[in-house]
Amino acid sequence: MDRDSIARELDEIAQFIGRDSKFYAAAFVREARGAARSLKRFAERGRVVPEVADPEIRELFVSSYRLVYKNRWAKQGSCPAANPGSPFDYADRRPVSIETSALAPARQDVIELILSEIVVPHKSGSSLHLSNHMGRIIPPKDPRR
Amino acid sequence: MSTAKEEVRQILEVIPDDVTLEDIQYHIYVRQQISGGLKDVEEGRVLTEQEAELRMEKWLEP
Repeated sequence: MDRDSIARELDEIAQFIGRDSKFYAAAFVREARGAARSLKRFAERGRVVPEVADPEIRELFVSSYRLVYKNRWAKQGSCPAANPGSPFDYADRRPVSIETSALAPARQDVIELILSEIVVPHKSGSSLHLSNHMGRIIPPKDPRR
Repeated sequence: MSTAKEEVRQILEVIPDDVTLEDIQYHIYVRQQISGGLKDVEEGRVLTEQEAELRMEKWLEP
């Protein structure tokens, strides 16, 4: 694998979306970038990845993809309000708190399960405000649908 | 360090009872992807934020 596998994955996804629409590819890249940047200030906004069940390994949803990152502060309780470094800032291995580790495609049924547990910061007009589902686990849909 | 068998067992514990083989395959795939990413980080196959942004810039051009 290359040194730059993370960016390459993002690139591949953008290329895949870009075959249909350059507009949506750009929107995806912006969303992924925005999600990664938001982790500088809100490292704990992602939910713990259920497949790994480690408080350090968390994820955010970007379109229909799962942006997985590692929050090194998670095991020491709360993370500092303003973390140094950034999700992509691995070159500097000092107290970089967040590491984006992998992008895996998510499926709709999994997303529903996830959104029911994630604490989505309320933004007015955001379709992500799912207070009705909070605290309730929605089982995956019938796979034969 | 947990073994592959333990990892799969862990996954089976957290997913619902009525899943298909395909579902299980998907969750194992996710786990694999994450392990790969963590290894990349450990072994320095990483980019700085600036490098990553530079790479993605071409998608944002009009």
